[in-house]
Parts: sequence; structure tokens; C-alpha cells
Amino acid sequence: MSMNLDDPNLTAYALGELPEAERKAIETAMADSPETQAFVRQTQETAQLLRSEFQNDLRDAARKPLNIMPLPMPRSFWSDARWLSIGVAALLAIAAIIGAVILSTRVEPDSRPDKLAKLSRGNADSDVQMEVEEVPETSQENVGVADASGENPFLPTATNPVSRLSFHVGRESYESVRRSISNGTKPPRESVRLEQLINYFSYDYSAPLPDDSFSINLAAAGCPWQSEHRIVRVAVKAREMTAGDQGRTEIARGAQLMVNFSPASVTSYRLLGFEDQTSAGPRGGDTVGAGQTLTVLYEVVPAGTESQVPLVSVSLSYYSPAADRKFVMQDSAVEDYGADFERAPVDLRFAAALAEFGMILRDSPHKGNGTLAAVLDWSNESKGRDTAGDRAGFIELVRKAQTLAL
Amino acid sequence: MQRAPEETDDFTELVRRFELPLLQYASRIIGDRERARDVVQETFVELQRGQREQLDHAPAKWLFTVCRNRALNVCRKERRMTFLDDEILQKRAGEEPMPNETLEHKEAKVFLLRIIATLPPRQQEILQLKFQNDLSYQEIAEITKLSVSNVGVILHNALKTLRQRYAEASRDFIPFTPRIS
Repeated sequence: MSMNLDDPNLTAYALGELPEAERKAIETAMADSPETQAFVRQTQETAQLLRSEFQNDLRDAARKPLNIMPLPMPRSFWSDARWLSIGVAALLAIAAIIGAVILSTRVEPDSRPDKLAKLSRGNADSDVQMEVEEVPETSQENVGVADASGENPFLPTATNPVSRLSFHVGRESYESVRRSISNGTKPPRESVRLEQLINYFSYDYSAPLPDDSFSINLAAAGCPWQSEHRIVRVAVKAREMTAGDQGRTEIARGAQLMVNFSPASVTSYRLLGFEDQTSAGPRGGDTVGAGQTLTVLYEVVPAGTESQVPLVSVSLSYYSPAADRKFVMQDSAVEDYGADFERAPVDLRFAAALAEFGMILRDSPHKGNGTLAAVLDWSNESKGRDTAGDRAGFIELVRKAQTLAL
Repeated sequence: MQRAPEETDDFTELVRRFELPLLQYASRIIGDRERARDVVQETFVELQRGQREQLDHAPAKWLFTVCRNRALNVCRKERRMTFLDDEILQKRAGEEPMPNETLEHKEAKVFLLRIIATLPPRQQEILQLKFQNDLSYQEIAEITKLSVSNVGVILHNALKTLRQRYAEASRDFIPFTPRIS
């Protein structure tokens, strides 16, 4: 006999919610209805998938370290140690939840219907070909022509919602700037590259989850040199090499970051540095080494509405190591809770200090109201553990720059 | 025989077990995690303040009910649009996706949780209570102040829509293999 598949009792049955008598009745009725049996099975499968996804959601929330939310103002009942621990745990959770969900999906090369499928098919043939064909869609989205100052302009989100970057970033600029200042001269403008200053330093980002090759660390805070604006920090960290990885030479290839700005919450944004990539398009084919980090800052003009839409969402795509050679994507998103700069994570603050330092040296039209004295304060306050001692070196450099009256 | 756990251990255990699920739940209602965190803390404070006896048999029901009420209070006080306001719910006639939540972007993620976000709010809430927190129809009905059969209908419709959209998404967009731990 045929049963009405739109009967909520069938769903209740599949989920084990029916009392004994009704359960029996349904079992009898569906005995000769393969259609109903299939429906029940599908419902149970969906339920299982949902449980699993909701558990992933909680698990990711629990694991992700605090990298977005600043510590809240102390509250009276927090003085109780118990509440402190609850609070910290809650913060850890919130930090993760804000990133919504990081789930990763592994896509078989031939299953993608779009350009990426072609890309991946090429990839399956040979490594040599891969190096050529893997060059990701050199999208024009964020190929903003640098303005007269040789710097990225603010781009309207409505027409340029996506910013793409590869992992390629040099470090030479910081050393060159340090040399000039140590010699008592002002560094030549073109030698000051914001992304290189920022990425010269190491940051304490979270390690990737066990199944992932990267962690994505997003944060938003007030912009210290332009009080109307916000700073968004997009940082990625590749997995560290472990004992089991002996002989592996790489973590990933062709890693590309795609940062989507939401027009509902962002009017326009400016990428700090990376002018080589914005003029020529992101490079492809770069190999990402174990433990490598990439830190990207955006100055964002908020839309000013009370939007609950995430400020940015980030997709990271890459080819995992040659062994399985699959195309992988990881996602994350950050909402803006209006945190002040002072309460932002130290790594964000230190990177912002480096950016403003660079903009002052370049006499950038975007430097806002920051000064070397302010840069000194910010970097002093965000020195963190500074195990390598290089942050202290930067602080010295700023002091030295102050004496040069640049 | 084991010693009964001390009161504090008991409390700690409840926090450990329910803190994240409550946070996720309150966040969905309020749409703001910072406020949601406050609400969860208040919920545990209320728990401390002695309503313990109500808890003994059904801690989940008690915690989710208190958390929900407090979350709705925050929404009313701050005049936030919450998806659980009856007025808004009625306007939306229950079955249409929220305007910004349709799967507009082709490259959009097909993850199940994102598809859930396209469902009517009441359906989202009940899916979350059912599958994140493993509550029974009866418990969900008490928390949400709906009838048990109402919960059954909403869940049934939610699963049906979810399956459809999931199938569409899998067909039209990037197929994926869910990560099952």
C-alpha cells in the first residue's frame, strides 16, 4: 500500500519519536511500501548528517583559539575564579563561532563544473603542466590600478567585492628600511613595501585543525589612524612539519586567498601593500612551506548599518601535497563587533603598527593621523612575548626613525 | 559506591556540557555573539542562584528555556529584529527563506549549515535543538512553547526542504563530501 510521504509522523518515526503503538502501526504499513522505507532511510541519513555537521560546528567552536574577540571589560562576578574560567572558555568559543564554520571540502578534480575543473584536469596529467595551468584565474576583480602615490586605492565593494592574493610575499623591504634608518637616511619611498614590513615578522596564529593544511585567522578592530574606519586582518598559517612529515617538501601549491567583502557591511576597502599583485594579478604556482604565515591587512570603510552580515568571508584554495593532489578549499568569515583597536589581538596591533610605520615613511596619502610616536606606543603595547626579539628590534628602529625627523 | 559529586563539580559539568550549545543557540536568536555570551553567562548565574531543584531531571530543558527567554528579552529591550518575534514570523508566513539568505552566489558554499541558514527561522531553531542538542519533540515543544505535533510538522518540513536544497546545491554547485568525524 502507498503511504502519504508528507505525513510528519513518518519523520517522527524515522527519528524514533513515536510511542510504541504508533511505531508498530507505521512499521506494519510500510512493510510493503519500498517508497516509504526509502523515505525513512533518507530521513535517518539526513539526520545523521545533521548531527555530524552540528557536532563539527561545536567542535570547531571549542577548538579555535581566541583570535577575534578582544577580552571583555572586567565584570564584578568575573572576579570569582570560576567565572573567569567560564568566561575564557566562552570567549574561545565565541572566537570560533564568529568564524562561523570552517569546514573543508575536498573536491575530486573532475567533479567541478567550472573553470577549476579544467584547471584540475590539467593538474592530474603532469606536474610540469600543473605549474603552468594551475595559475589560478587571474581575475580582474581586485586589479585596482595603484593611485598616484603608487598605492592601492580604496575600492568600492559594490563593484569590487573580491580581493585575491597568492602567498607570494618577499621580506627584503624591512631589511632595506632598517639599513637606511640605521645609516641615518630616509628610506627611498619605493623601497618601503607595507606587506613586506608586515610579513617580515612572525605571528602567533593558531595551528590548523588536524584535517586542514591551513588555519585562517580573522579579526576586525578600529583603525588607529582613521577613527571612522576599521581594520580587518586576514592571516593564514600553514601546518608545521611534524615527525610524520619527513621527506615532505611542501604543504601546498597554488594557494590563493579570496577575500569577499560584503556590500551590506563594507562600503569600500583598501588593501595595504601587495601592489605588485594588484597591478599584475595574483601569482600562481607558489609553493607554501610548512609553518609559513601570510598576514594581510585591509582598511575598511564600514557601511554604517547595523548589519549582521559578516564583514568579510575568506576562501583559501590550494592543491594539497602531491600525494593526493586534490583541490581543497577552506572557508571562514568574520563579523565586526565594533572592537576598539586597543582591545584587538596583539598580532593585529603589531601588524597595524608596521603598516602605519610604512605609510609614514612613504608619506602616504592614506597614513591618516598616525605619527611615529603613536606607532611606538602601538608596537610597545603589542610586543607580546617576542621570543625572537625582533619586535624589540622594530621598536628600536621606530625610536631611531624619530630622531631622523623624517 | 562512588561519592556523589560535589555541587561545584556538578555545576562545572553542566557548564562544560551546555556552554557551547547554549552559546550557539543564543547567537542564532540574537544574531550577536557578544550579547549571546552575556545571555549564557546570565543563564548560568541564574542556575547558581538556587533554581537547582528544577534542574535535576531535565537540565537541558531548563537551561535552553532560560537561555531562550533571556535572549528574547535582550532582543526586545534592544529592539533587535529577532527571528522569533511572532510579528516577524507571521509576516514571513513561515515558509519563505529570509531575503538575504537565498543561495544567490553560484560559488556559494554548499555546506549543510549554510543551507540551514536559508530555512525559515523557526525551522532553524528546531533543527538546532533537535540535532545539535539531541532534545526530544516533547522537550523542544516545552522550550519553544509549541505543541508537540507542531514541532513534528516544522521538523518534517525543515528536513524536506533541506533535502531538496541540498540535492539542488550538490547538483548545481560544487559537490562535496561532508567531513564526518
